[in-house]
Amino acid sequence: MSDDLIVQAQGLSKVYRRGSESVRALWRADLRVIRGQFIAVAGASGSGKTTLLNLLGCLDRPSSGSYRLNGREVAGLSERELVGIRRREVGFVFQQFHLIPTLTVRENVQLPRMFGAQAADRTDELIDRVGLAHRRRHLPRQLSGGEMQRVAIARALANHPALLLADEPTGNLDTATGRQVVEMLRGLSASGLAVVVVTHNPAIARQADQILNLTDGLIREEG
Amino acid sequence: MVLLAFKNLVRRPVRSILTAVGVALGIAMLFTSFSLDRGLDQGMQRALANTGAQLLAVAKGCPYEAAALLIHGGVGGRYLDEAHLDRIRQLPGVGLAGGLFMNQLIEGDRPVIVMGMDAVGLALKPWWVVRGRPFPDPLSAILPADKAARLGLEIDDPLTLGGRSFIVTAILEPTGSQDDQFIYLPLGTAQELFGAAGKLTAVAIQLDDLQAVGEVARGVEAIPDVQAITMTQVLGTARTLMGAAQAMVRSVTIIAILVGAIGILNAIMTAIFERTREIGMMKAVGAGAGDILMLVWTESILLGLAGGLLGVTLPLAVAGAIDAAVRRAIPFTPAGDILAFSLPAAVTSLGAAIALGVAAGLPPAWRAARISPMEAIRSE
Repeated sequence: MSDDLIVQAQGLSKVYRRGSESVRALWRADLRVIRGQFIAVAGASGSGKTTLLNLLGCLDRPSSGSYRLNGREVAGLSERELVGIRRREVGFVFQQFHLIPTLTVRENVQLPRMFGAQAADRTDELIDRVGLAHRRRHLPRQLSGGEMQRVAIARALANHPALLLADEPTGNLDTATGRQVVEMLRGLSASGLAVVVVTHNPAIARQADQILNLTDGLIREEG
Repeated sequence: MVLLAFKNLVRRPVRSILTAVGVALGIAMLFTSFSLDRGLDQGMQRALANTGAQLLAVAKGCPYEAAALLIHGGVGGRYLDEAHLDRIRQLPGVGLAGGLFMNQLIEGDRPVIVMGMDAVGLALKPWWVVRGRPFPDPLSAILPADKAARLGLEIDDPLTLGGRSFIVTAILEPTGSQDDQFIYLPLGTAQELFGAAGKLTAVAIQLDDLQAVGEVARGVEAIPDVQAITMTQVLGTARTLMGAAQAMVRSVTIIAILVGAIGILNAIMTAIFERTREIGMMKAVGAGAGDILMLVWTESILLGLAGGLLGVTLPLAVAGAIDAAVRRAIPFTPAGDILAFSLPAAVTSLGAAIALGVAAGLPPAWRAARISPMEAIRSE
């Protein structure tokens, strides 16, 4: 197996029970993401985008199928083992940024390290990389939306992940700021990171190396 | 982790302060209760030691009344015949035996407790520092220094008591005990002033040998209408009298502590509901259930600690007001400090506050640890 293969999912499914009914949130998805690839996941609301992201980020376990992350099968791991995987292998960026309001930019970026992420401390380097060196000691309320999302990106990189997952990262930003954030994610993938972005925005999807369109839990096409 | 927990509390300052104050009230009561128990006991032992006697002979009757008289001063309903004094002095094992007469009169609008004592009574209090000449003649009086200052009197100044004129011949320097509350007259003069010639309130007995207390007590009780009370019995009686009030204080303390615990539980639970998505984010970036449990638990413990520090400081700051309130509420409180603050009591109270944080924080911490990151983030 190539060292460049970060995500390899085969027949990945997630079925929820809703009363007596079974809901196929994701059905038999096959997916490969290599190092440096920028993937966009598109689809209508309820199509299974977030379910796919949760499975890829080890926040949830699949009902069936295989999922190898960075060469390791993670589909059958315990919650404790999944925590370890999230700590080492995955970075998350959210639409709402989810910065802790009482922590400074620097402390927010350090957050994964507070929870035992073992990667070398690159906090200042990451803050420089997202262009916020002058904001290091500022609180989130003193930042613009774009700056907050850049802090969130730096935080997602604090554990030196192999896979970066972003859920509508430009959903709360204006067009120009959103474009800057996408350029930043694009730059990260160019530097070797595997990036998967969930988006409604066709302009962002068009910049991806590959687009996965989800409909009713099925990956319909790959562009 | 501690920094993060602290900053989470600072995020809602009013809520955190009110919760800590709730804990502080319970802990302040606990610390006060400990200090009061110790202070009252020490004060009682000090008061009894200040009588200079190990045994009292009083008229047969209520031992509670005798204890109250001894500790607080006042009017006894029953008297001993002074003739018994010589008989007591002759009992084997008796070192000194001094006759005491105590009664009360009103001067102006103030009650004045008069203590009549003889030369032996004075000898029972060798630690007294007296300026002037104690009892050179029957119309002499000894005034405690505070009382003399309040009345504007000095040695050789006249003093009117019960319509009779006396001369202040000596001033008693402050003793920090109940002795500072009385006016002292020669025994015979005091008896005559109250129309009780030949009567005694009590005979204070100092023993040659403490081991002989039982034997001397039996000798005293062989005298008709006389009962012996040891200082241990007086102490026990006084403790019983104060016990009910102390039990009430303890009950209120327990309720206050429970209210504090509910306050912490409520504050932390509310904070968790408000921060569900944030907890989800933390789990997504690598926090395990144990990390979240420890974070929330630390917040609860910090609240307990803050409440504990405030609760231990509060009684120290308002000791005077507590002293005054306790004296109004509890009968027979001894003179001197009745709140004996101590480091072990402070440490125990602080420990209780932390334990409160530990106990009250566990349910919300457990709940937070079990939040599904997926569900939490989806609540967006």
